[in-house]
Amino acid sequence: MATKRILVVDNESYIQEVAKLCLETVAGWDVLLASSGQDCLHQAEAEQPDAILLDVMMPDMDGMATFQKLQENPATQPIPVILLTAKIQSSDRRRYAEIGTIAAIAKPFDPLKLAGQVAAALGWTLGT
Amino acid sequence: MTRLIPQKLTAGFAIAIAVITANAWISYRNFSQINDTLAFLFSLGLLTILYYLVRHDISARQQTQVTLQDRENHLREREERLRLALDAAQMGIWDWNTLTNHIVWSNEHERLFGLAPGTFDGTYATFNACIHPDDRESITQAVNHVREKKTDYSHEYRVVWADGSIHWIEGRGKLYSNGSGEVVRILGTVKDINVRKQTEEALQTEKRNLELRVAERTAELLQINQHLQHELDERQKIQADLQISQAQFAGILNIAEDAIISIDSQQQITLFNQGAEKIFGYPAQAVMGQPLDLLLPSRFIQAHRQHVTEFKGSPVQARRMGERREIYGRRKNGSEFPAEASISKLNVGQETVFTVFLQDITERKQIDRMKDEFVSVVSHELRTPLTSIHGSLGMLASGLLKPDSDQGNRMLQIAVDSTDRLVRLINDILDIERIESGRVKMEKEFCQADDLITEALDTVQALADKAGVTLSVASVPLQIWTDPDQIVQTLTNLISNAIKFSPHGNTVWLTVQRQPDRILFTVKDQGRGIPADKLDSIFERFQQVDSSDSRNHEGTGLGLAICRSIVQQHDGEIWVESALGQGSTFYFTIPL
Repeated sequence: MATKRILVVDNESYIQEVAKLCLETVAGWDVLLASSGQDCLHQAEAEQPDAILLDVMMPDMDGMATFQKLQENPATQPIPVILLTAKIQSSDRRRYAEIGTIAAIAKPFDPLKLAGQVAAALGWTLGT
Repeated sequence: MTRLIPQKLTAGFAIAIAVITANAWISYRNFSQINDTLAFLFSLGLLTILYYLVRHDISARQQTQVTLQDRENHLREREERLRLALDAAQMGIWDWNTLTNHIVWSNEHERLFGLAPGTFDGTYATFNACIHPDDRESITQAVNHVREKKTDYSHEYRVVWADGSIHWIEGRGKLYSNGSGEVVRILGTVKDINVRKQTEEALQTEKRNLELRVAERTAELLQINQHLQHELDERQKIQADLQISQAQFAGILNIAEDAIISIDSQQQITLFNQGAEKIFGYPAQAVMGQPLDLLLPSRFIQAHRQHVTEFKGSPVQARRMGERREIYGRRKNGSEFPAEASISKLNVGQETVFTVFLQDITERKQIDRMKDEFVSVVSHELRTPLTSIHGSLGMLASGLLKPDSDQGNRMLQIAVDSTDRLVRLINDILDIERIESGRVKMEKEFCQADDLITEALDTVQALADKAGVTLSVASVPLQIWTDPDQIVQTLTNLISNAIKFSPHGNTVWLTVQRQPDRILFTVKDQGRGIPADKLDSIFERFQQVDSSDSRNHEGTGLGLAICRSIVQQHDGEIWVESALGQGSTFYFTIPL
């Protein structure tokens, strides 16, 4: 089975680095990085990752707008999206579910559990 | 004259006898037969005359006798008439001969004194015995008075009959005196005045009763008057209180920012205060008597009417409106606004008056939204470095990474940088919160502007050197009244920003100028500039041109917000002029 590829989208480079290291080290997945919503749309369409781990609060195009664009593009619409966000109150969680995201993981995340949370949300088994 | 004639005739008759006798004697002694005959004839003539005179005198006497009899009869008749009249008037007559002290009473008098006819013995003692003991002295005084003053007598007194009954009598009398002025007789009447006295007593009693009733009524009236006066005072007091209350109510109505609207049972507007005019945009006179629907979005009209009707029937007197849903008002211009309202009801007779207190919460909602956004932003800003710290240190702590490996070192660097960022952020948040809440007390003093600039330059010089940026200062000696630490912080923030966004080899200019009533500080760079759409918000919190600036330029997104707060605390102004790619110039002023 091919190694899973995850696209991590965050305008904070340190968070990109930490998340990439966590997912690669713990789960062995390939991690792609995008630093903005626009970058995400391009890479998603071009790279067709197995899942997208998407930050919500980003300048210019935030995570919600980015998700909307992904849904509107048939090439990216099937890609499951998991939000990685500091905006994680219950009202936010309801909103995220309503628009069709798979799950939302709160920042700060536990580096050793992050991969497990993503796998659980997607129905994956770690190691794949 | 006629009555004197018989007496004169009698005298004449005697004289005539004497003359005749004398002539006869003379004739007999002195004359002869002839002379005797003449004498005889003369005598005979005289006798004839005498006879005639005597006859005439007798006739006159007889005539007088008849006249006297007539007069006596006439007098008796008059007396009888008088007696009848007195009897008819039930008046008794008394006749007191004061010389003999004998008193004569008529039968009616005796009857009035309770005596049988003819039984009065004519003595004053008997009269006195009939008098009520309490009145005897007054009668004696009255009698003495009239006898002394020669005036008519009039007195009222009581007599006591043998059966013990008491009768009121009015006695009147007239005094008669003899030629020497001595009172010889008192003639008078008595009259029963019992009925009059009883009437008078009854009247007196009635008068007393009347006076008593008048007094009682007067007392009642006084009491009622006092009561009314008390009520009047109370009403006046209530009136005064009411006027004060109305004035207060009117004052409250006028100064209230909220809309205060009253409606009647038909939900027609009866009160519309100035606050309502301001919120809804209608003048009061335009909505008075109009249905409340005018102020509601059409989609809420039916539901609102239903709610008011339900409230009318509910036992509660007041309740908050829109507890289950948001409510909206409609302005004159048709725009809608969110509102918060409560409603109360007051039953006035058969009528129920509803009063609605309504507040336009558009601004509050905006503020709430801004607060939520701010909390959300702060939360994000705090969680971002925390995420990096937690993640990097977590990986190191897991043993999955060797601390001395490149990855391990990178994670350590991320943790350190993120920790610095977090510390700066927390410090700035605390700073701005303290400044804006006024908890940072400004400690103003006279300072030299040059000294402040020097201190700020000392702080940022290392940063400039590292960035390869030259700092150029142009100032004039100026003394200003300010808090030096805060102005140095402002200058430091602005110069730091200018250095961070200036390419290597560029210059940052700092100038100080004196203006008529203020000092103008200017910090100019040749950096990337600020987009036009960011110029208005650049001084707001967390409104960096690029959020990655927080990481790349060691900013927190609060530096300019802190500058603005400090300048505003000094009653100064701060602004920026910039164009993308052409650098930025920040200005701030401090009043002299």
